[in-house]
Amino acid sequence: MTDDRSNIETGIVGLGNIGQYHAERLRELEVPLVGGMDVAAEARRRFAGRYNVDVYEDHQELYETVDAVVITTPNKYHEEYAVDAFEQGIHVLLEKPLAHDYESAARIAAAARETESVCMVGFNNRFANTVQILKDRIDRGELGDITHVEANYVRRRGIPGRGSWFTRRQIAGGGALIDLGVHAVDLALYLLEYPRVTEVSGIARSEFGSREEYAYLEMWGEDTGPRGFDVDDSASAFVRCAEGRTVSLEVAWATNRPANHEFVVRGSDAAARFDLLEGGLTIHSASTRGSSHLENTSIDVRQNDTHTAEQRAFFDRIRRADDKTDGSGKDGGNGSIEQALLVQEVIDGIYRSSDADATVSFDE
Amino acid sequence: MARIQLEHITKRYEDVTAVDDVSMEIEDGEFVTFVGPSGCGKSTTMETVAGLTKPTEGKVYIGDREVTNLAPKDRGVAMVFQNIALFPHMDVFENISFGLRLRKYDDEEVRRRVEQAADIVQLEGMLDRMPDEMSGGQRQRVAIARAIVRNPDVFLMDEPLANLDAKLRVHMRTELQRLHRELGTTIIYVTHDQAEAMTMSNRIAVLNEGKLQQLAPPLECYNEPANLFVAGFIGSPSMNFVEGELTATGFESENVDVAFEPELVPSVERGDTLTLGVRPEDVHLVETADDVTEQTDELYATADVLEPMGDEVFVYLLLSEDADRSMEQEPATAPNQLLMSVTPDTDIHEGKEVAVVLDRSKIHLFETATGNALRHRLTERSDSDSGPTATEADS
Repeated sequence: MTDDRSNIETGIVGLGNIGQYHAERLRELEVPLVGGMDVAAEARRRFAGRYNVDVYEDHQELYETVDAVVITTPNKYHEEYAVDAFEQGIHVLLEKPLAHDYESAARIAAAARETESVCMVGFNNRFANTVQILKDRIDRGELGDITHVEANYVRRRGIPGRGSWFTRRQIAGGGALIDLGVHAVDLALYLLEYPRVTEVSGIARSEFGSREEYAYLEMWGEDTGPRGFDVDDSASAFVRCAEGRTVSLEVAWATNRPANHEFVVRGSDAAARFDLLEGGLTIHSASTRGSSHLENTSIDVRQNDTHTAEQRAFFDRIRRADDKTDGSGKDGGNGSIEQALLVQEVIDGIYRSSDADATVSFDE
Repeated sequence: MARIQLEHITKRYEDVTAVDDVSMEIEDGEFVTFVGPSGCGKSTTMETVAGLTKPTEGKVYIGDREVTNLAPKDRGVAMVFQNIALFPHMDVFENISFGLRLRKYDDEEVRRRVEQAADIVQLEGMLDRMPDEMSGGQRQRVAIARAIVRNPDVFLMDEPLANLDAKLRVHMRTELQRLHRELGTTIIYVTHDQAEAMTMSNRIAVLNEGKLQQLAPPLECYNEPANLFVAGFIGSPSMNFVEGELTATGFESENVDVAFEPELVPSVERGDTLTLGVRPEDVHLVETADDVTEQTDELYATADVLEPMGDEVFVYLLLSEDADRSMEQEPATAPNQLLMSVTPDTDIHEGKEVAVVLDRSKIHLFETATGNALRHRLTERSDSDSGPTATEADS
């Protein structure tokens, strides 16, 4: 019974690369994939051919056939597809970010509060074994009080699909900060147990994407050149939370420095360091026992597919649908919508801080 | 419709107590406004009623039901927020009916309720418009209609007019009052704008630093503020405060002396520090004070700055202890200042030396140490009805 997902008929909304990525994992988990929806005929044809399922141009037709959907459309369209799903009582796994802007995110969250549907936002990095092991140690108090998280999500040259929706503010809502920053902010706040955020200060920069001579080795998606690129490709920010807890954030699609996906979590008794791409976890502590010494404990971790783990958690929650967490407690659930809304508020705050050249306060 | 009861509500975050032991009862059908400065706990208190925030301690009742741990959707409340949260991909009809459709009401019932709500907020004929085709005021009416169709026991409104321009805001105030009259639903309304609080509500709850300062009808908060905070917060411009001492003959300070029997304030002793409060409209030029039946002795001052507002003029007075000992001895500092409001036809100009009196029936005395009100009029006869109001009015 515990792993039986065979009765949750699931569809995908948005049949691009990420949609297919999710479809593969649904198959692995033996979830019945029953259909897909995309406004683009070519995407529908490709998806139907590959997965042998019905495809639709109108999401409402798909919604008549499913219990759950994975929404992987460009950010701006999350709201329409998610809210319409809630209306039909359909459960929603929504790819991050929650929305393209804070207002839209708040509307999705408000609608989610009113429905019985499970709604989870795709912060897959939480499901990395490394992160789960660290979270367990934090919960057991091994690091003492967590005071600061250095969160790095920095690519050297990794603008996705230059010229596509990813790099258009009107559809994506932003660039590297909203695309990668949501992962970093969520992970940092998750490890800090989602404290109250009091203020943010940051800068979002656009330095590389609009260059004709943008140099790169690989690109996720197609490069159609700098035209239409109107978003940030890196951001630096500082997030201040209750009780003096802080997050320093470095995010980039492109920057003149080596790539860096390191997270350092500082506690009063010990620190932890992990790298999201390389895996592995190190605990740094110190003691005077015997004689003063510094200790670095290396923990080897089995790498896991975080998207599969995320999907598994989503379907588990559907099966315990009455157990919907509200995000107000420590156990706010994986991808709880209230937490996703706070992430969006922080991202929005960094953009506002950057525009205003000033700190943005989160007080009542 | 329902009454609401908050029992010892406290909400603590890691390092902040946002709401500190707030208790109150809101009657069925009452319009109560939570008002206070930024960070006073008014929104958090409302969120505990909405179910968006769980109190750390205390209980919330709506009607006869304890709802402290219920989800927002199970509380019979409908919320209207500052950001006008209409779904941009839905037309007005779909936006208004969203909550009903979620709850699987049949189509005919949905249409009936939407049309009725649209009628109440005067949106007839606009049901097929998209939000981006409407003005800010129209969109706010859609948001209100969306709350109305749910037929809730309670409306919760958090700064719903804050994003509208000043003129529209004033108009929507009267609309909301009309709505309350027509529907009779209990309303909790959160605002930092005291003009909204004063004009719309049956009672206002003044909050500061998470604590309930006073819960009373607007004019009672204005005329009989429970403490210095309420006295300073309610009323614009703010009440004048003068710090002094209780002596055998009354109140004495550097610039302002007011004689009265110390027995009028039995809970404090001679030598205790008191704060005297008087509103700008209760300071009068001697020559125009004929209607003021009980006046203090004359105070002498110079008209420092005049602010003509159109219907009245604010006069910033610099007080002198007496006519001979004037400003030269000390530079003008705030304690020497008294704000007076006069009619525009008053014969006054900047630099003019004037004599003023205070209306004794409108003088407030506060215990400086606690801030609590001691007395709200200093008329000669001892009037037992003029004592301070309780922090929590029991009306």
